[in-house]
Amino acid sequence: MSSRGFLALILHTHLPLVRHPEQDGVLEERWLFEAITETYLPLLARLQRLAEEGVPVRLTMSFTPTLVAMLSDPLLQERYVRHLEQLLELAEKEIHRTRWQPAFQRLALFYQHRLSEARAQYVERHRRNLLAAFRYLARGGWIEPLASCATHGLLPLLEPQPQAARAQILVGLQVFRQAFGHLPKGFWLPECAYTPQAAQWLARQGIQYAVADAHAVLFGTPRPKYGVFAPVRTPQGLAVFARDPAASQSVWSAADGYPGHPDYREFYRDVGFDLEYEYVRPYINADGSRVSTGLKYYRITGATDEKRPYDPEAARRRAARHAEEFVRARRAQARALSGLMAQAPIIVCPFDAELLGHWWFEGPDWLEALIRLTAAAGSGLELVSLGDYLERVPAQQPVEPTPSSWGQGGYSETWLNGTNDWLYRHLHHAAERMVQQATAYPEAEGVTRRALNQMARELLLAQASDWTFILKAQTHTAYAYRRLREHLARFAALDKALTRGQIDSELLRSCEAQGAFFPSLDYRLYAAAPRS
Amino acid sequence: MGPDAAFTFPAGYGQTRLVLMVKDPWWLYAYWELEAQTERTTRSRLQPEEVAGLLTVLRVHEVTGGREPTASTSIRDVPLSVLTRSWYLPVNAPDREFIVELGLLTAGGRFLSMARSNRVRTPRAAPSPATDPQWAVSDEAFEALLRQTTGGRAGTSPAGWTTSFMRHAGAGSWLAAAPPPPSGNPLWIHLDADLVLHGRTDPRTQVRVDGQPVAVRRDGTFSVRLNVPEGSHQFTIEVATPDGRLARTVTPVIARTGLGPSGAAARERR
Repeated sequence: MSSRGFLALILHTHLPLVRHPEQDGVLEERWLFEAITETYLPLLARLQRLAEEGVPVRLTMSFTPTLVAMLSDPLLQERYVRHLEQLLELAEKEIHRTRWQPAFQRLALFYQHRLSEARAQYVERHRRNLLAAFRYLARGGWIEPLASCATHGLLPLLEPQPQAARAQILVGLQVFRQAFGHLPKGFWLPECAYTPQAAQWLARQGIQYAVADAHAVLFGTPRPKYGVFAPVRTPQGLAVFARDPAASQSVWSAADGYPGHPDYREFYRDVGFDLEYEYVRPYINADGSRVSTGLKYYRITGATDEKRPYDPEAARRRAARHAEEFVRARRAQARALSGLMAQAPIIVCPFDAELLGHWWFEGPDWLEALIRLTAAAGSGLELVSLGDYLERVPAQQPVEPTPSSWGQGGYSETWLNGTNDWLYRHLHHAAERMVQQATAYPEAEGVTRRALNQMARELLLAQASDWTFILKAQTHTAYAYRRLREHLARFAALDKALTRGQIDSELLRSCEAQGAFFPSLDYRLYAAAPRS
Repeated sequence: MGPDAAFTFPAGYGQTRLVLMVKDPWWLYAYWELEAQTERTTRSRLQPEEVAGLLTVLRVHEVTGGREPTASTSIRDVPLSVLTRSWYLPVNAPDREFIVELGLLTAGGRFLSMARSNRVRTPRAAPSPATDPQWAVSDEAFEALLRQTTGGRAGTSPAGWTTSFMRHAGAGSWLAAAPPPPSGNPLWIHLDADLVLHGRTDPRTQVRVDGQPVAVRRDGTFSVRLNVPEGSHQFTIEVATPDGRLARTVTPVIARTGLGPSGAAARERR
């Protein structure tokens, strides 16, 4: 195929670990359930359909260890099926309630159909194991999977304690290897937060590439000849791909991006908030607070509060048109670049996977249409994974990228500001204690070893960038505080017990039960003299 | 009860520590803790006449190129009040290296260091002037590339290159969110009406509303919830014996007026 340009779509899948064995109906577990229903299952269904039809599909997808752990967790799998059944019950009630409102009844039927499809897909087709489904796509070559940090730790802000930052990477690679059976070619840096130190650790582990935001490369030294349209090679030997802002803008932007079109489904009008309280009570949060159910009847309509009923068919047609627009714009970009570059440009478009489906309901339709269009003869674009590209175009310009992120402002301000800066002294202190204890017990056995491993888990879980992000976003802050307090409290209690030489097995058991994550974690990777 | 029930984040860890972090090319963040002994020891080195007018300061050193902090690398002293434990430092200096020291500054200008930070480097905030001869790129060619990067929005000068394409992308797309209050109208209101039709009959009968069967409970009661559209609406309630031979039909009319379409906001009336 002669193509004018390469297009790389990267879906970053991630959720913080939200698993509460101690309590039923914790609101935050819905984050996982909604992502499964609205993003993971629709993506899997579309990718499998394309694969079965023989359409060349090639996506790059990252999987964080916290998500991998949740997708394979029997308790959460069970709870998800229960959650689906609850929603199906609501959808059925809605079909009756909306009998005199055909525009809404059609939607109630639409949701009932979707939810029963989701249940069949989840329970029968995938036997509750979505990780296996993604692994199947990876083995078949439809997706190129990427590893990421253990708990989505933001590396630049963890680096004052280097072993702790490095452990985020090493644990991420171990979890990936267990999940996919081999080392990944590439690594997703949480929030695209590139640092030279991270590049060194990754290169030393044999990782070929990472993805950064545009300015990481554009502001790199020396000036990159091809801008964001070719990866660069860092002094440590890692290839770094840069996000193309023009392509990202059309999908990410709340103001002028596709997801804001009036035909698309309105995220905020949900029956969980709109309907009479006693009626929806069984389907909202266990504590009685209203939450989204996923049954949403309106379209964005426009800058008005008078929302019109959602029309799934019209929305799907709009998604197809937006896919055409996207392909046209990328082709025009590639054509314009051909005059400026001696090699075919690569346009790199990373998105949060949950953007597609969860925030932008029609996102998976858009993605499927986009893949079909690029696959068509004469599209002028070739869909590649980042690993494929490196095989096709092996030479890269040596450039030292600048540390940066894809968060607001382009650096670390989202995770370091007046709402969350107080946390770092506690995270860094815990990391320092972890290194000291791991060094003091080089070959621990029995309960001592279990305590050290659990300390490492609690530390990793406290380091998730999600908590500092939530504190900044000012939504769900009580939960972020709760999680930070829990993990650091358990860490401190175990640290103290270890120092006293009296490990309370009851304490240890309760920590292990609640902070269950990555059973084969080995605390020794925190020891002061790093094993290579 | 877990260990977290009584946990509060400690005010300090009984250590002397000064940590420097990078927020962006223009701002650093420092946090610290001073062990009581550190300050006592340092104060004991003061001459009696130096005690008056003594300040606690954060001394910022620019140490680009691996220089060690000395009096000449000091670019700023930030005076601190007693309870301060962290500070944002506007260094305004991309691509530079910094170390900070926490210390006592006498009126005579003598600095006694109590803690020294790690070394950090601020990120770059503009394209590098350096080019690689093997990968040479002219200003014009680079600018043309930037135009393709920003969809035509790039500035035409290197100064305009800096932030025109740095836009907020994703974080937390998985978050659930409660709906924000619509528009800026303090009197916004959404109105809708459901009809709960309920009744009681012989539990053996079959009840249908508009032809749709309704579940009759063992005690003979039943209830149906129906969203009532705007306008006048006739419907049928039918009760029939299980064999269907005997049936009775009721055809009530329900009218809803003045609420506007379901789910729409009420129009403001004055």
